[in-house]
Amino acid sequence: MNEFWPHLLLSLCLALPASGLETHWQFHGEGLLQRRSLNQSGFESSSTRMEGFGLVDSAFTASGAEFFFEAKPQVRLVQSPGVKSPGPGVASVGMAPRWLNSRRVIQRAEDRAVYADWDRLNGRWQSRLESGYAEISLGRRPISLGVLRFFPVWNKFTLPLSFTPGPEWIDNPDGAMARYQSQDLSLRAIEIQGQGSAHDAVSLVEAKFSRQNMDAQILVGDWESRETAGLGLAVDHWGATWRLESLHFEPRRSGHGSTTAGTDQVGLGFERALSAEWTVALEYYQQSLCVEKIGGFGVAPLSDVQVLNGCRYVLPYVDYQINSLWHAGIGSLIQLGDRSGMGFFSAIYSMSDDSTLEFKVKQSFGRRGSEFGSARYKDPLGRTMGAQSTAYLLWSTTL
Amino acid sequence: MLIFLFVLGGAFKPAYGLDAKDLVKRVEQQSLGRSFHGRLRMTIERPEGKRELEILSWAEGHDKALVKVLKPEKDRGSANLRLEFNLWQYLPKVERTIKVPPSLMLQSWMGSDFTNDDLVKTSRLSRDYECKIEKEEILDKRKLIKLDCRPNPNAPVVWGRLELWVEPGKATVMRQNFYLENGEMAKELVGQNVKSFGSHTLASRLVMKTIKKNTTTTLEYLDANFDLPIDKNIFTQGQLQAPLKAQE
Repeated sequence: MNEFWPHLLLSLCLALPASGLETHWQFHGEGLLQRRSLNQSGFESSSTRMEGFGLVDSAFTASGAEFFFEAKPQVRLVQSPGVKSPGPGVASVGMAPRWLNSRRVIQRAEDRAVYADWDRLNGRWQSRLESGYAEISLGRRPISLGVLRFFPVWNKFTLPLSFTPGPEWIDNPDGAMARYQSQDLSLRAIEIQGQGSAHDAVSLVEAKFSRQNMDAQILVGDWESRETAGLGLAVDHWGATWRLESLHFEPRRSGHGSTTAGTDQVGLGFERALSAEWTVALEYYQQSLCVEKIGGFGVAPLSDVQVLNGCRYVLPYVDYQINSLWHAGIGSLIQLGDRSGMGFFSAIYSMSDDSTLEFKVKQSFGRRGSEFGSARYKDPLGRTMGAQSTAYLLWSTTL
Repeated sequence: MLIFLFVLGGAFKPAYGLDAKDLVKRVEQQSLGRSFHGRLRMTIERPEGKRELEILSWAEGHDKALVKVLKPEKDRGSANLRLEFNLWQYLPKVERTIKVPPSLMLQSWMGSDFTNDDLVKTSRLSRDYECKIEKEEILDKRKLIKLDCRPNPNAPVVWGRLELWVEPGKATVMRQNFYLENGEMAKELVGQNVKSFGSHTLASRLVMKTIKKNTTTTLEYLDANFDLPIDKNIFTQGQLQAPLKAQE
C-alpha cells in the first residue's frame, strides 16, 4: 500500500490538469523555535530546552463543477538538543497512525525526527438536486464538529487545543462523509476509520437546523464502540452568540482503551464584540468522568474521548485587534476543582501577503499534585511529572 | 483623490423634483440589484506596508451574502456567510464553520477599513435610516445630490449619521461619510472610476479612509454581474465550506 499510493497520486496530480479540471498548487512552510519547560524530575536529564520544529507541505487541488480532488503531502521535523530518549517534541511531529498507513519515517535519532505523510488526500463529489444538494467525500480531510470555540465536547478531530503545549498541528482522520443540504437543514453522515481495528471506528449522523437567530444540532452514533448522542445550540442574543454542546457516551462495549466507563460532557459559552477592536469570550466545561482529588491525576487522559481529567473548567478569553497587521489574544484555562490551569497569550503579526509571525506563550500554574501543577503525577520510583509550559516563535509562509 | 471643485451653498429645494426615499431606493437598487456575483480586489494600505486580497462575492437582495477569499494564498478559502442577521465564519485550515456574534459586524474585515457590516451589508439604508435631501453639490465635475441620513429609533446600525453624495441620473453613490453617535466623523468612502456593469452603473473603485488612523482600503470591482439568477443553495453553510471552483 505504501509503495502504491504515492505513485498513483503523483500520476493523478500530473494527469488532472490535462482533463479540463481547474488545478491549483499551494506551498506552505513553517519554522518554529520553542522553549519547553517540562516540570519533571527523574525522567529526563534536562527539564528546560530549546527545540526547533519545521513543517513543509504542498497542497494540490483539482476541481470541476461536481468533482474536487485534494492531495497534500507534508513533512514534519523536530530537533530537540540534549534529549537522550524520545521526548515530547517527537510526539508533536509524529503524525498519528491512521487507516491509510502512509506515514514514512525519514529520520529517527535520539534528538531528531523527520516524518512524512499525507496531511490531506480526498475526493469529493457534489450534485445539485431539485430540493438541495448532496456531497460525498472519501479520504483524509479535517472533520470539525460542534459550536464551541475552545472546549472539545464535539470537536475531537481537529485537536490539539490552544491550551495544549507544543505546535498546534492536527492529524486529519481517514473516512467517508455524505452530506445533504436543503436550505436551512443539513444532514451529515460521517464514518471515520481508526488504525485498522473495528473498535476504533466512529460512525456519526449530524443533523443541523438553522432558523432565525439559532443553529440547532443533534449528533448520534457510535464512537469507538460507545453509543453516543448529543445536542448543540448556538443562539444570538444581546449582541452575543451563546453556545451549548452536550455529549453522552455509554460505557465502551469492547476494544482497548484507558477506560470503558461512560461519560457525560457539557460545554457552555458566549462570545461578544465590545468594540471594533475588543472581543471577549467565556466558556464553561464539565465532564462526569473526572478526578476530583489533588494527587489523583495520572499522565494519560481517563478516557479516549477526553483530553482533560478534571471535573469543571472555565476559560475566559480576550481578543484585541491592535491594527490591521497586529493581533493579540490572552486567555486562561482554569480547573475549578484545584484552581490550577494554563494561561496563554499570543501575538500575531502579518509580515506580508504571504507570511505571518506568531509569538505564543502557554504557562501552566497550580499546586503540587494539581492537574496543571508542577508534579501532578508521581510514580513508584518517586519520579514526578507535571504540566508543561512552552513559549514559541512561529514563522509561516504560504505561496 | 477626489476633490470638491465647487460647493453650492444655502438651502436646497428637492433637486430634479426628487424624493429622498425614492432616491435611496434607487441607490440600493443600483448598488445591490436583485442579485450580485462578482470578483473584487481589496488593497489595504498602512504606513507599515500594503496587503492585497482578492475575494469572490455573492449577494441576493438585502438578506443573503457570501464572501470567499481567493488571495492571498494563506487566507484562500476563508469565508463569511450572512443570512439576515446571522453570520458564520469558515476556517479552511480545520474546515470549521462557527456562528459568530452579530456584534462582530462592527469589526474590521480581514484587517481592512471595511467592517464585516460593509462587506455583507446587514444594515439597509432605506429600512434603517431616515434620509433627507440636503443640497446639490458639484464634486469632481459631477453634479451630485447630498443626502443626510439619520438612523431610525432602535435600528440595528453601527453609525450615528451618514452623508451621501449621489449622482441623481444613475443613482450612483460617489461619496459617503460615516459619523459616530457622538458626531465625530469616523470614515469616508470615495467612489472613483464609474463603470457600467449591465444595467448597473457604479463607482468601480471605492476608497475607504479611517479618519483617526489615517489608513485607507481600496475595493475594486474586477468583475460584476447583477440580477442573474443565483442558486438558492449558494447561501447555505454547506456551500460556505464548498471548494472554491465548484461554485464560481
